[in-house]
Amino acid sequence: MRCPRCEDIYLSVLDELDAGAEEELKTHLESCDECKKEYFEVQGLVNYLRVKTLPDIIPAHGPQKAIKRDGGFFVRFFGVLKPAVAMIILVLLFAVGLQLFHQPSLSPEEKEVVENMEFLKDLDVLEKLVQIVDGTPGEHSSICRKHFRMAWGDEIYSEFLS
Amino acid sequence: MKGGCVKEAEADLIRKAQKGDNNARNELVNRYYEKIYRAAFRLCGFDREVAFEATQETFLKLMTRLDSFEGRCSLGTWLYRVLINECLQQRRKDKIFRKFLKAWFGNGSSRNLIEPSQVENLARKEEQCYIKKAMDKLSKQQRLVVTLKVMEGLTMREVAEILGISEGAVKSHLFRGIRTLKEELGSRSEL
Repeated sequence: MRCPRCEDIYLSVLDELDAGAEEELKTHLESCDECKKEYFEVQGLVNYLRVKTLPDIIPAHGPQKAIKRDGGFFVRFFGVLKPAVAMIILVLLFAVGLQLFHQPSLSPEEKEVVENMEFLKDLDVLEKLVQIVDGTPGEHSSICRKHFRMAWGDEIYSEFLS
Repeated sequence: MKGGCVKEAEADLIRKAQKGDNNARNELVNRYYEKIYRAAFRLCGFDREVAFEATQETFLKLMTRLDSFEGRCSLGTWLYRVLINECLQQRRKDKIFRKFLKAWFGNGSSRNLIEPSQVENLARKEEQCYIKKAMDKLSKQQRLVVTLKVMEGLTMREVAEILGISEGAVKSHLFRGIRTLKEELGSRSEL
């Protein structure tokens, strides 16, 4: 008789071999020492795994805690709503974040004004100077013009005169 | 309930629980608690706390989703499925936790999976340590099949139904798993 595959031995140890094959295997084991050894090794392993992996205690309060944790209608209701609540919180956080970091968008004209703020200040100073020079009579006027030329240069002065 | 996989007595109990009968709910929890905790303990690397947490989550899901249970499979099968998902989640969390600990504190994990607190349990814990190391060498499917078939003693059909695979695939995972465990634990199981 040929030696059965290890699989038959595994199935026999785990009570999954059909009656005919089981009988055949038993007859074979009586005459084959190698298969008998394999059979007892696998049986030992299975028993070892079953016995040694048992928990030392089963928590006695477990079932009561599991029942209490159910919490009745409200827990069940809000349990179902959990994903929706999480989504709402996420959306709110996103909106708050947007508000905090949002930069107001400017029109092109407004942007130009912001970029040329220094130049506009200079223009304002010039306008005031013109008012002073125009309102200053005789020699004071020439002193003012001299100071103007010193401060702003000949080019701007000539532009100013024109 | 539409399906016919649930035994009549159990189906009656489930129907009562679905209608809000607290006694029926308690009866269902008490009936399955020990079985599910034992499987959780084996699936969660022999960690009592993690197994307890996974069991509680499983029964919480049973309570919250009992109304939608249609009886296409037995309640035991349904509970095992939920439990396996919970345990896999716990395992993932534990892996991340361990990586974090390793990154921050170097070599060790300050959280031992097995905490031998009582002297009389030390030997058992030590054996469980060896078994866990050997089980870690199996693939996820092999580990699940070996736990459900060899340790829990379920039938091939039940294991196939729980894992959603064919009986042939269960056998294949089982044989490979047993071979690996035999290599790893052979000398220990003979003691």
